[in-house]
Amino acid sequence: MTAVSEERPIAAVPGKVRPSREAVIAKLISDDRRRRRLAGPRSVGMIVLSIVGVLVVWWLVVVVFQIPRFVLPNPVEVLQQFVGSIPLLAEEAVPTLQEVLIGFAITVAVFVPVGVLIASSRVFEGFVNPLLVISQSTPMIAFAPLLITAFGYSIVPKVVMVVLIAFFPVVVNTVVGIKSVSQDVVDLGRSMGASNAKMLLKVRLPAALPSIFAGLRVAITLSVIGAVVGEYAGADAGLGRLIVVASGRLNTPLVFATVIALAIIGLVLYKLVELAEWASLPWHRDKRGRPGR
Amino acid sequence: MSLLVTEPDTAVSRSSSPVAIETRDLSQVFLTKQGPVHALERVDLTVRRGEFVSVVGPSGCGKSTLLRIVAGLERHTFGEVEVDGAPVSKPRTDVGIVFQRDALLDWRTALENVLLQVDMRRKRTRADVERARELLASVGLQGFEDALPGQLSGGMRQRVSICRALILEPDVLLMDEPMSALDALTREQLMVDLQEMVARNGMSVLFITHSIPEAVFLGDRVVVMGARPGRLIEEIVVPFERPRSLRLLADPEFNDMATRIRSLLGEIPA
Repeated sequence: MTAVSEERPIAAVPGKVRPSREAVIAKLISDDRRRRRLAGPRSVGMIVLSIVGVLVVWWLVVVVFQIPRFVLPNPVEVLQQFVGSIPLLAEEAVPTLQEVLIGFAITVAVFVPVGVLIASSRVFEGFVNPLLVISQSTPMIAFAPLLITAFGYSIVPKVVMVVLIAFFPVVVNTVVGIKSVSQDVVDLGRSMGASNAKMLLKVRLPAALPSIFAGLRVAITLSVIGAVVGEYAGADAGLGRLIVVASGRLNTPLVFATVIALAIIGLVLYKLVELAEWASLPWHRDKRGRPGR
Repeated sequence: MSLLVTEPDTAVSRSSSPVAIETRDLSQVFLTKQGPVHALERVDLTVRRGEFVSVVGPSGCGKSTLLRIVAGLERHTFGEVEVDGAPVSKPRTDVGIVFQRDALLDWRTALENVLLQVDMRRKRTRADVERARELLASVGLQGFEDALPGQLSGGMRQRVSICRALILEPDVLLMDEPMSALDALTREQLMVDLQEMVARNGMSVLFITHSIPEAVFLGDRVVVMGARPGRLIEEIVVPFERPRSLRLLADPEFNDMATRIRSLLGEIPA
């Protein structure tokens, strides 16, 4: 739904011929159209401008301070490297994407239900909450080498790392969402003789979905980080391992090209989650607006 | 009971009809950090079958607590509470409830919100859907069946929530300040509509409000409550004939009654 324009009183100018109502309204509409036309491209233009600005500063720093290529290549070199390495990056992206997607799927499948349990059982909440808090003050990255020892050079330690890093926002947001149901609605359910299962399926879970999706949006970006960290600790393929190998050979442009590839993957996955949210919560669209901005 | 049959009783014939809701010596004590608080003190209230009883009182007088106890949503401390002759010990599933906030589910359309009442109990039938459509149409919501609550005005949303309470034709309807969140014009229109719906279904109604005109306009009887502790101060029989029109709001007799209740509540010196 779009308002035609913010309300603005149309002042009658003394001494001038009053324009007709139609003319005034036509002017309002055309002004509004113009504002709208300017608003879109301008915001895109600003994004491009800010990125170009950073690149220019980057380029200037490298040139002015004569920074060696293996410490910080200039943006043009990085871009050349990226374009030239697209086949390699695509090949290495496959295992990393697998780790991210499997880890994310497990995170959702396990920790949404855990959140539901925490929100519905005081006892369970009492047991699990302290663990959650402790887990968040523990640097999960520290476990990466241990995971390699335990599971070997397979995909397993990376997936576990993804889950360890990404689960927290999923649990917390699920709990918050489930608990957001108002007392009136709960009472209404009781007066309808609804079973706990029906209450959960028909009321609590749908009510929690916007909050759960907020958690998933954070979790998907954390998942990419988890996969890269998992590969740092030991891997025979993947973008994280490519960074380790490239920096070991002082091929810094390739390191940067790989980082760009990871950023693109992260952004695309984030947008996909946002799209899934938009598609599955039609009743929530007005509040969050269309994705893709 | 059919929606279309209008029960021909009057306030007089109802006074001898069987009891729908009864509380005897009902007291409710809450434990707070400051010690026990008496929310309700020795409340004796009777709603006869087909009777519309308004409960009016200042905020904090326990009138909402009273409704929640009758609905079985809250345990009471002392006394007896009966609905249709059976003591209330757990949530009653055969009463209709309407809250101050409409408590609609944002992701269900108006029609689906009405049908929630059915979905929570059993598989819905085509007759249920038909009935829900008829109900929505009867409160002027035809054409809005597929609208989401976010697209409806406050008055329309509350109408949907009333339809949800009515779809299974409960004998008892409990309403907790259902109009206090609405603007004055919407409220008056809804008063008229509500009167009509209740008459059509022949329900017994316990109607909680803090609006004196609402209480008098809708009620066969008005029960006036006082606060701290919440207790009954007075019961007033409302003699005006039904159906009542909004013109009644300007009637001197109506205003006398409202003034009397106001002085009972201490809003104006007696």
